[in-house]
Amino acid sequence: MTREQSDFDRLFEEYADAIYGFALRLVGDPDRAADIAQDTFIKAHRRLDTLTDPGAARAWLFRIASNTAIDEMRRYRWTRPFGTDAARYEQRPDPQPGPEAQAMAGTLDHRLQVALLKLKAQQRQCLLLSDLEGMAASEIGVVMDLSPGAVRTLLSRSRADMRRLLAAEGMTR
Amino acid sequence: MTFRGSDHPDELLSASLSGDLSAEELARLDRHLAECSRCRDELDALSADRRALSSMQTPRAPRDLEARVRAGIEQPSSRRTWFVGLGASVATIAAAIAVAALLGRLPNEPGSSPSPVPSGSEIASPSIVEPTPEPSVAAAFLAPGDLGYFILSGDVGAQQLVFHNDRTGAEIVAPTTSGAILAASLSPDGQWLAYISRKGESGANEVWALNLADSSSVRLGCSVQFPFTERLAWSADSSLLAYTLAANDIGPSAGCNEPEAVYTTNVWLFEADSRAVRRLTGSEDAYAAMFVQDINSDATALLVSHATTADSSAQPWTEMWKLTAPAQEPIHLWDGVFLPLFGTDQVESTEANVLFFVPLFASDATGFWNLQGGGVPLIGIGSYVTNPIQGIPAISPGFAGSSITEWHVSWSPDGQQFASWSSNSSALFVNSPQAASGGGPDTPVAIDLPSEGAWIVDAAFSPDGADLLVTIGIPSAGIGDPPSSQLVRLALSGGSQSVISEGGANPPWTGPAVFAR
Repeated sequence: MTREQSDFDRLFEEYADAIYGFALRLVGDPDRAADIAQDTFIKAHRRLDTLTDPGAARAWLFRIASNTAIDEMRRYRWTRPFGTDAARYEQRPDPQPGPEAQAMAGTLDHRLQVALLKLKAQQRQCLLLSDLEGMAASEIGVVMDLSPGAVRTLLSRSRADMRRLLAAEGMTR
Repeated sequence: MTFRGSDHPDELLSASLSGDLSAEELARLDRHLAECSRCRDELDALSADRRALSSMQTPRAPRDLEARVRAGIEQPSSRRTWFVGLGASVATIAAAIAVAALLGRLPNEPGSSPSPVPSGSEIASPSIVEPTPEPSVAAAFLAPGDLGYFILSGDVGAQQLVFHNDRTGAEIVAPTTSGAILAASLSPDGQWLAYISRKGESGANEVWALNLADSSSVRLGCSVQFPFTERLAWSADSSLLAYTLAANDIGPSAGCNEPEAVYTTNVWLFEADSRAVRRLTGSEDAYAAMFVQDINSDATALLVSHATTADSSAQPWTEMWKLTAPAQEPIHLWDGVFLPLFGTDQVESTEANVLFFVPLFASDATGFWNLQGGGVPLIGIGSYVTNPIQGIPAISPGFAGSSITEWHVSWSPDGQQFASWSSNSSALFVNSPQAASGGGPDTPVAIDLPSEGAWIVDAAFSPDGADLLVTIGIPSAGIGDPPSSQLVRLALSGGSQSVISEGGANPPWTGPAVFAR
């Protein structure tokens, strides 16, 4: 096995779940999330030589995932111009019939996901990178190609909008 | 730090959750929290939200993900997913390819042919003017960056129209028109120059396509002078030109089509390869907006808007025609949106800058509007990926108080600026989408006018967006004399102005200008 191959394997092993989870929370659909995750790692493999600082691997990989997800969301919406992401999520056919899916419906997780999908895509991205992935503003800036100041402003607005959406979902404290 | 004029440091509250505060900011926030119960409660609420999000289940990746990735690495996918379109020029396409290569994907190759003509559409016989006896001009009449413009010279009845290369001085003779040239649009590959000319004082316009390689021309149709018809849109691969013709009552004796119900509008297409002309729509209320790329099938698609002149209760709307075979029904896209015109360079962003018209006299995009009712247009800047277009309404300066039907817009090549002007005034505005979304500057661009009563005919950005090539119409000297014009180059920074062309002999009409990219 080449060194490059082992580097990639480590990358995949460490981040596959996180990338898939990020994509899933972004688009609300397991099949689309799997496609995004697949495309992300394929691109990452092709561009592995551009990752010069191992310490920046997470931001580098999430940046690829973000751009891939944006591309997918744009493509998906273009062919389905009616309806919102949240509405499609709530009306989707049960993708994994079984006890797991049944338990998911109506839970906090589900209601959070519905609220997330009502945010604009950029806001959703920013919030997930901060609160789900625990990234600092500077790292989010690398992923989303924004200045730390712009991330800070975007995050503040995203939190305020999320607060309103959660309140509308009956999830006030 | 405050947020949007509030006395409460909401951004600091948010940033404190992820540890992004400096020591000074943290101290400032602590002092504020000691005295502000609202912010303490807010911080508690935001913290709870963050805890809830961070505790969301993190599902495992599908078990077959690794296998799928390996398969993809060993056998690259042939699926094309890149959205290029948006009337991209050759340079924009090249930039898109560069960006796509960076992300490991390739867009469509420029110059790919569109699919055959959908069935049921009307085919019109084009009027082809044979090449002039002079030797054929070189294939690239305009090199990248070259400026070209029209010059109409000679006395009435003995006029000559040429297209002039400002750098080389070379000229191509174009079919002589009897009136002013109102609009010009160069195909992205630089092979065709489409233009609209007034038909003397008849009240009609003619649409033409001039081939810059062999100087042949195709007459694309005749139209009543009508709002929003003096526009030309090329597809990104230069294979198609879309334009709007308003039915006229001048009749075939004037070289125009058979008389139809006047003031009805339809979208027409010119196919560059076959030089065929055909009518796309039959609804009599359609206007060509712009081409986009259908990212699922890679087919060229055309945005078409509808606006009625008769029914005051009907709002405008926009649909997308997929120009593929077999013929498909157009897809209804957005209600209340008329003539969406995207800026170029939208390769990576989901927030695309788009100009469009919506009725002013409704608080949202569901009000009533029709062309005869007029009113004041709004310009929306926002995301195109949601439905309907979530525009941030902006009353662009100068629009207020004038008829919606008089206004024209053009984007800079990088989509970071747009110029807007009224065909009945000398006011010319340049805005960035960001500035326009906040209301925009109130002051028109300072421009020296050659005479009283002059009006803006056309404004084209230079490739670097630093200059505008402005065609200024000059009122006629007297009864029976056609108008003339002046072509000036205006530096947007600093405002210096230089006259590029004042045309030839009487009537000295010159312009519009185009740049090859």
